[in-house]
Amino acid sequence: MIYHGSRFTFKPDITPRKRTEALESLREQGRVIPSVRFFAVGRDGSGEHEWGAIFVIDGLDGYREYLTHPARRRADQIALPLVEDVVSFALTDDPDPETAAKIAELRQRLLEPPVEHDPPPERPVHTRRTVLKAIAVTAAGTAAAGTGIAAAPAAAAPHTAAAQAVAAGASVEVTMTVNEQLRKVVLEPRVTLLDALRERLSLTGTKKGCDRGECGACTVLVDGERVKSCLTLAVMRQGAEVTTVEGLARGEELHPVQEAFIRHDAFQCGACTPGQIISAVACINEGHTSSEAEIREWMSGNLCRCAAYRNIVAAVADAAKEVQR
Amino acid sequence: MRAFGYTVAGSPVEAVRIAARTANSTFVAGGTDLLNLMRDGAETHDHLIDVNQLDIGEVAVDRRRLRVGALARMRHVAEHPGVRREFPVLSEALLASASPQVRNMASIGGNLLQRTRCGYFRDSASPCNKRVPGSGCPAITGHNRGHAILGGSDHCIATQPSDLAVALTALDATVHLIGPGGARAVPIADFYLLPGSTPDRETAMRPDELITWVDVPRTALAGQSRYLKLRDRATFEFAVVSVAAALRTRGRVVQDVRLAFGGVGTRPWRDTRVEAALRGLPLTGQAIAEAGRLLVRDAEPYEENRFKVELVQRALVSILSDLGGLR
Repeated sequence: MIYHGSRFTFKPDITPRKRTEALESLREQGRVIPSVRFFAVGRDGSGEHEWGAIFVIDGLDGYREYLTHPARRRADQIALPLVEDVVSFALTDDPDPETAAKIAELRQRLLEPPVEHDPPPERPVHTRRTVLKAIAVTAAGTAAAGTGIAAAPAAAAPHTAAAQAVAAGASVEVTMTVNEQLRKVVLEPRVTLLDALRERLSLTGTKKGCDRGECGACTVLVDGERVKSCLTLAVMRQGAEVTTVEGLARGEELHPVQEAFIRHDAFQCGACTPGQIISAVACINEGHTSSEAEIREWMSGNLCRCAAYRNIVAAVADAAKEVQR
Repeated sequence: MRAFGYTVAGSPVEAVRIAARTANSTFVAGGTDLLNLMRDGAETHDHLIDVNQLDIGEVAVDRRRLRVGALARMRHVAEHPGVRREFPVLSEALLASASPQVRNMASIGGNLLQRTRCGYFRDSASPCNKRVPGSGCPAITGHNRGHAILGGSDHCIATQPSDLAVALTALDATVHLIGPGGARAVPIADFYLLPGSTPDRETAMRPDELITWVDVPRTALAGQSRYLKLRDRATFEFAVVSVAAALRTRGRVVQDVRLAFGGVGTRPWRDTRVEAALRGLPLTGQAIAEAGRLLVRDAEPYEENRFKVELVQRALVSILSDLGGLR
């Protein structure tokens, strides 16, 4: 058996609802991951941390399954931004020292932020690529690296300003925080942020419409501001914080703008909808929702080929009321 | 897009140095125009120099002037309280440009250097004297609805599409540059070139120069300025015709006036004779109409853009009537 545990303290300003949500996401791992035999998530009596979680897992294969399971990734997304001061450990009752070494190796490999290669590493063409790490940012937080709640928030990731050249045809490692997860991609400078999100990170919620900045289907938030991801290069977004439509919901709970789009039937074919929703989130944050005319003007960078504009405007107005309440 | 190399520059001096030693390179800030140009083959570059880390993004108003760093984004200039109060034409021109998303991305330097929307220029399969000197200009006899009626030549009649450039032209801005030969300043009136026989040369910038900032003198006139943009749809579209105007009157009499026009000229169009014709006169419908006739006296309209001759005069009447309280 492998006992995977973590002890943590929530940030002081976390609402009780958020806390419950985080704890539930941790418990969900125990419920849905088959290799977890027993688990407990509860108050930590040690005095050093408020909370703790422990998962009893069947064998090394089970541990690999646990570390790579979507439920664990979801728990990371929900819980990680809410906690501070996390420690994590993994012990085993297997007397074979080889087992402990393998556990360490698994944690090292699977708790690090995933690096997405271009093209995927198994394809032989990759070996000819030059990977220049010179301008890469490595910001895997040391505390979080071993937490069992994998990816570290990259708030501390600095923008580099080193005048390092990437040759034409060469690839470069780009680190971004995407939907609150630290992600690394290796790509050529000519790859747009849109293509990096869709093709490398498999975040296909962001749509490619015109691929020239006219339709707005590719709208994402970068460092909190809405941008057209087809008009910017991924390499120019080193260290940035990106939010795509996949990052809006909290677990099963949709974002108020998503709820409002459903309530108002603010789409037909849905192709423009992720861009509309992200743009609406920004539009509301910017405070451009005082009238229907203002919403129309400030949502004008998002085209809808089904012309569902009337319902989109209604959804934005409604969501704005809810968000501002 | 064709493969290209990429470098992040740490300072303006470094950026220029890299540009000077890197063949067929260009700077990239927002990338909102450049990426499309490169996709379409209207521009080809072997190397991009990312200038987004340079410390030239500030917007500051002091007693004498507004200084806008070349890396300031359109949105931040448009929303700057000092710009809105003291230079409303700049804020209005920016807010009438592009989309909220693009205004979050596009830099002021890049806005001034955006390329024409001429369809023949953007289509790399068409001849275009601007893109391939000597290859010809299909616009003169072809689709020219969006083209210039002033300042054209037998080689090119494309307009410069920046709304901001029109507003800056009305306010006598100065463009500051740094290059391998050092730093210099160019009045905006000299910054954009007429096409003549070399439409591929669009600005007074020398090879490997970089815009660092733009200065705008702070005057009482600038505080009373407006931007009128006429386009084919209500928003998110380039100008068919636009006017940047600043006006001071005493009683009814025009003390001072600045006018610049977009969509009608091969560069942001300013004609000081038109301003002189209004100065010292009571601002009446007749005076404005006469100034308008003077503006289009040398106009050379083409098959599809004759309507601009009338439209720009009406735009002038509209904006000056509003500014002067005639209605």
